[in-house]
Amino acid sequence: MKKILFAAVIIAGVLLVTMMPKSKKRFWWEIIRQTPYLIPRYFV
Amino acid sequence: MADYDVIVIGAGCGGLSVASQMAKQGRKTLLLEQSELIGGCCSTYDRNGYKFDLGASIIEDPASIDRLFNRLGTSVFKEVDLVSCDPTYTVITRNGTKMKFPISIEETAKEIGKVSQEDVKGFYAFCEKFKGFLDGAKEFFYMPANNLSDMMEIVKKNPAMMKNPGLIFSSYQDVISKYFKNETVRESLSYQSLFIGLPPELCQGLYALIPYLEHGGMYYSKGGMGEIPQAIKRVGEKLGLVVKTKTAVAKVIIRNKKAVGVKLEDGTEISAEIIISDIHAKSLYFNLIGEEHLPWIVKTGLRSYEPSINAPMLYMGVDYKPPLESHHTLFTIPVKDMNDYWWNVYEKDGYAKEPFGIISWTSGSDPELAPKGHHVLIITMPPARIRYAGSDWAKEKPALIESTIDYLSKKYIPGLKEHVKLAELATPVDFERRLRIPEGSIYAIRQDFTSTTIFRPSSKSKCIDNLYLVGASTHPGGGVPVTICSGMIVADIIEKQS
Repeated sequence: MKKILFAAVIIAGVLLVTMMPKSKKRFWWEIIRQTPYLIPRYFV
Repeated sequence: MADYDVIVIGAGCGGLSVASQMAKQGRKTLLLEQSELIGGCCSTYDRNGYKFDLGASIIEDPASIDRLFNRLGTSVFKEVDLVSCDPTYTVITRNGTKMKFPISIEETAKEIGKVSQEDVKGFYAFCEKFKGFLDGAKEFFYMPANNLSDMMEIVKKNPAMMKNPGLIFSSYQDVISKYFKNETVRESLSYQSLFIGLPPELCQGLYALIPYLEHGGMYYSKGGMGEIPQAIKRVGEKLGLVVKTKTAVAKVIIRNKKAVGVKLEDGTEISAEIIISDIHAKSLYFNLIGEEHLPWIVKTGLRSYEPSINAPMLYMGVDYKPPLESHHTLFTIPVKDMNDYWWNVYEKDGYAKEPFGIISWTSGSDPELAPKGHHVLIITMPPARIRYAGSDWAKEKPALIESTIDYLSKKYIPGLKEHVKLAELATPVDFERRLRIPEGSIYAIRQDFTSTTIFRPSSKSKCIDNLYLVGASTHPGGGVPVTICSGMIVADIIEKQS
């Protein structure tokens, strides 16, 4: 059951990203790309 | 005993704001500026009788500037001769559609209706949305955002921020597309995302408030934009502030992780209880303080910041009255092209083949800026990086001036070419040299979701005691009124602590 749920979440995620307009993808990609820097930036 | 209570490095609007308030608080304050002009990006210079504004060419939201003057015991309307710019803009889209944006919301709705009747309703809904948002987020620009508890306080005092996640977690383009259906209308309202330093698809949705905010009034200061910083200086000096121009700081003196003074380029050392910096945070920490005083995490954070945009500016003196209709004329390109320009040209260090940008006809608002019968035109050109693929800016200057004048003559300002008496271009390299801003980025650091509030350099240094930061590289960000707010935030922190 857990495996099915996990697979469903992954498929839903992939579908969501695939169907997202290009501009939305770019908006979110920029945020994801910079997320690793959030902690260092907090300490500046 | 220290020579001064407070030393402020840099006389941009943020530095002047905090320095004058320090003087008002009764502190012995010294303001040091490396250039001969004060005001930073909001300064005005004279060339052969033409007065050119270096960067800023209007102010929106005079209320926040007035709040500073009120703190100093006066009013911006008393100290600066502000001229209302109405219409706020004339927009000429790439397909040749001309639209005026008067201050009156009703008149603007009529203008939008001429292009797209179905968007009139959307415009009123757009205005209603941002009116509600601004009413519930009034204090955001005056509150510190140095840590999580500051953020909690911001959210508590600005309930609109929690109530409008759609504006925080969506793009400028999404917000405009939600309220407006016609592509020309969308284009006419999207250029403003570049004021935040990002194209419409990357800029945060809440900044779509700019086209609404413009209806609160747009002003130009008679004598040039530099009159605003001059007025702050004048009022500050009456309160005891000492301002020294052409005095560059070489180092901030650090002892036991505490800022105790500054060393000037001529070797003079001046001590102070508090040091406030109005220069770019990267320059402050890496050049004036030195990496040896910084923890690794701070160095990592500082290096991770991406620069905001810059745009070359063309300053022209002309011997005729240009056929323009307002202080500002935006010559825009479709939203899709703006985004494509960002990814395919700007990010690849290239430059626009056909320009887009802003024509500022400042002498239309103040004829005294030019000799009689002459006028001043300032062109904000498409954004560009300091690197120029396959060439360099100095080499490109003459050709760029010629092609821009040619293009504007043909499309937007008939007769221009025959009447240009003086033309000079400032490139990102010139901005870096003249204003000492890394990469010449006039808004300092990119203002996206990951570089705002608690993720922007803190206004009270977290690694050096007695050190504070104001200006575009700290919260709340870039722009004349906003940097003035950063000065108010630091003045409040210092007053509270003492």
